[in-house]
Amino acid sequence: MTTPAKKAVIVGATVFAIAVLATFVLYTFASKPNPALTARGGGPGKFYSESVSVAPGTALFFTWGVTPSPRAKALARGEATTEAERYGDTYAQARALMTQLTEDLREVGLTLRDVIAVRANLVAEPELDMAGWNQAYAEFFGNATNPHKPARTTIGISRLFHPDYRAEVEFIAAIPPNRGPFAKGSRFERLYDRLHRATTNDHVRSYGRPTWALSTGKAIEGGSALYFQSAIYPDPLMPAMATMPLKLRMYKGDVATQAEAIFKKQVAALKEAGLTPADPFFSRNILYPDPKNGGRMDFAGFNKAYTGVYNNPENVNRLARTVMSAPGYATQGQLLTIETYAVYPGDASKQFLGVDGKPVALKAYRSDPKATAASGVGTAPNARLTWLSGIVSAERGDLKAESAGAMKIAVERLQAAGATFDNVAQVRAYVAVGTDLGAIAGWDAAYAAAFPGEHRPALTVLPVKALPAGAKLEVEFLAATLE
Amino acid sequence: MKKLLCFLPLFLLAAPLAHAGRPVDFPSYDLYLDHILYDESFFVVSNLWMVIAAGLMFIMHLGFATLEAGFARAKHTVNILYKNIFVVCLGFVAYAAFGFHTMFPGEFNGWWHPGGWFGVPAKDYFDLMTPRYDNLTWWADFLFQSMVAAKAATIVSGAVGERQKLAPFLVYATLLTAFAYPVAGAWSWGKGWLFRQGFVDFAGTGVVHIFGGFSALACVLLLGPRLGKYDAVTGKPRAIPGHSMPLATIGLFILWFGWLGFNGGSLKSAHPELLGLVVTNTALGGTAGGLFAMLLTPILLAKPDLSMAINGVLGGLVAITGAADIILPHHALMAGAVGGGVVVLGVLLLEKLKIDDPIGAIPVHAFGGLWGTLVPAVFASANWQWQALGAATYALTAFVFSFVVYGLLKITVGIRASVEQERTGLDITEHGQEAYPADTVAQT
Repeated sequence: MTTPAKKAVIVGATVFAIAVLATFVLYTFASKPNPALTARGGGPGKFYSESVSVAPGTALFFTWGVTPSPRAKALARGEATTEAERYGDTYAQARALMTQLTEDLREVGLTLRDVIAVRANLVAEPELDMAGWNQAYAEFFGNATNPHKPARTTIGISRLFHPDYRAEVEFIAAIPPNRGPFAKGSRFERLYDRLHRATTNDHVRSYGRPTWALSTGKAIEGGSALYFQSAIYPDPLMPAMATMPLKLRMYKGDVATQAEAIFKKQVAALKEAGLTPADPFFSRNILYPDPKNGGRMDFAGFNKAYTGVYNNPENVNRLARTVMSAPGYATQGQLLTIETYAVYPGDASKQFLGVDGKPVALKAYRSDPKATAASGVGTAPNARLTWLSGIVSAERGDLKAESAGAMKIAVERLQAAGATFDNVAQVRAYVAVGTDLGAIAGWDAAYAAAFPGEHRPALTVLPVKALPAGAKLEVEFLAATLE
Repeated sequence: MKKLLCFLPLFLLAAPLAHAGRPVDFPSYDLYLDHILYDESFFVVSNLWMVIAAGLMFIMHLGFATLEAGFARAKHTVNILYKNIFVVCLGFVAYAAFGFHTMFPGEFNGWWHPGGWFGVPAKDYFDLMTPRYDNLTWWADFLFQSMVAAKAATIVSGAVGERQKLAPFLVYATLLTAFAYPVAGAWSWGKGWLFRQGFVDFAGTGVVHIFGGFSALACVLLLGPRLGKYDAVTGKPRAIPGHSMPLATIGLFILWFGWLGFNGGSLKSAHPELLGLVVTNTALGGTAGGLFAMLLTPILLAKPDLSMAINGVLGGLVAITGAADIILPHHALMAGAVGGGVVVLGVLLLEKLKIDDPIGAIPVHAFGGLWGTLVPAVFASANWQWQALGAATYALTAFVFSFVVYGLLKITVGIRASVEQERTGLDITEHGQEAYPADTVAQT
């Protein structure tokens, strides 16, 4: 080999070695997780962490439930010929949704490493496509470029807004101190200022298009007190039915009238915690198929009632929201459930003092002592919040056995996060029992055993279409602890 | 020192900088913007702007051709121009056949998703031409991206000029444009793994400039310096002046002009606020790079050097390319100035390392690109680790790909023109024609 050629190889090899070294060093730095997050139990082979805690005082970002758009490029490539293929299967849709959510996070200065919890609502008609969802999910979390594994809950529902939608995904993320609309002087603050979005609560920043009825995301300032509301059901036919067993309760009216009643109760519950309709930032809305209406879902009727409270000239607050359809309690004539999250305005720390004057992590509002759950639970501004992934029992059985099994796992996972059932702010139980709503009593027993004392969390019990691993029950928790 | 006094008025420019960065207040901005953005006419205007921007991008190839020809010696001019035409023709065809669908597959696993374009039913294109999807049509998207695609190979073409064999380079350029560039580009622009981790690259400092620059570095290392560039005995570098500085200067201004479309078009819409900001930042970045290079050259080299001024402007433009939409004009000035400085120092560094780059493509695109990728982290709070990792990834990918492919060509067919060819000029030996035939010159 001639001398110049030798030299070229030597110089080339040196540059190559330096570049490889630099890449590995940088990768080690770059893939370090968000320091505010503590993820537990996301070992090898697992898709998600068992729980993720957020350091007290961390700003949060809640996205909306994103639904798919037509697959433009696939259409052009001629891969989509039928109407259903316009949107793709669960895998294609979930991947597109998470790409959209990545963009929504980027707008605030966040990346996938900042995600605390992922919630996926997959259409389970005819069946739940967990393989497709996991495949898409693994391209975003727990892989070589992003080792971070957030908490995750997956449920199978009946339908989304469009019959061809297969998936709806929402993220909750933690905002690092130098990013987001609260970072003074950063481009994210500047961008937010230019957007001039209307804010109705001093701790909340709202993202999204101004003409939309909803926000695409809400940023919550660090050190804010949050409020989690129990699912609200409409008024039964007769007031006395409210305390009767589920089977005997009957409801009347269409979606619009039931939604109106729910919003009325929602405002009343907010008032109990000293909040107004200006303070909610997120709302999860589950519509049930109306048997009298041929199993149709009246999304328009819901929107009308929504506009009565939010996104109107009196209250410009637009919520980040998810709207989906699950079996629910449709057989009882009930047509929808709404649960909402809010932020206490101003300095709320005075609210979180116990009877002995010491600070507490939680404040549950339960004016009716007979109620099994609080109407809503507030978490203290200095509380450490822990999101637990959806838990299913290790063994399959009837709902009662599965509920007990899931609660056993919940105790361990709460303990790992330094919490007990007394620290639980919110419980959300999804049951897949078909039309046998009476079986829900099995869950009620496990719930009553876990919360026998004075403290009751905010509670949602939702009959869904299907759950992962063929389970009958999946339960997720949100806990708040003090340091 | 006296000649530096003429730059004194420059420092007066610092005064308005004190006022820069204040947010402007429009009380009804939301409604104004919303009205415009969701109007059918916004789609029409955006699409029109994208096609115009693609035209501006196209004329950058004229800029590259004149710049490279001007910096080369007269006896290699035809060869340089021939390569430039080939790279443009090839770039479009390769991108249409393979590149576009590899780079922008829509749904993408983050790493590798090759695809082709031909054979798509026409009715689906019309399905896409609605404001529902984006602010531009399928055609405008392809047109703009195919203009970008040919850039990477053009950057290499200048650096290897005056001493490479023609045929192996054409093979190499084909492989680079058709396969390597779209795959690497998809990691950032195709919403691949770098995008997902928050890597910011607005108009291609990483995707285009680092990629082209480090490809050029690998090729130049394999090729060795031109005859007589470094003294055989002392090893001292000798200046080999280009044959036409007017041509090079024309090239610079055409490139600068085209760059306004390069960055402005990368918005993919005619967003009323951002389009103005991006083009302003681009123009300011170039001027700052040029000014700083002009300020630095007399200090380091004793004489104001025209080629340094030209490359300084280009360095400033490369520096601003990665962040033009997220920084404010006073930051664009600073980023551009540093870019200009990086280029001047880079040229001197390459001479120290005895690497011969006739037109300064490596300092401008590789070194300027490295700085440009960090600009979003420095001025716009992007994650610096991922910016650095993205820069390293593009540098490494380009370097390895080019070193392997061009190295294989070197072993098999040889890449270096013979001493005889280089002495006589590649025009006569490769093409059998001259750029400036002697009889024409004699008659005038």
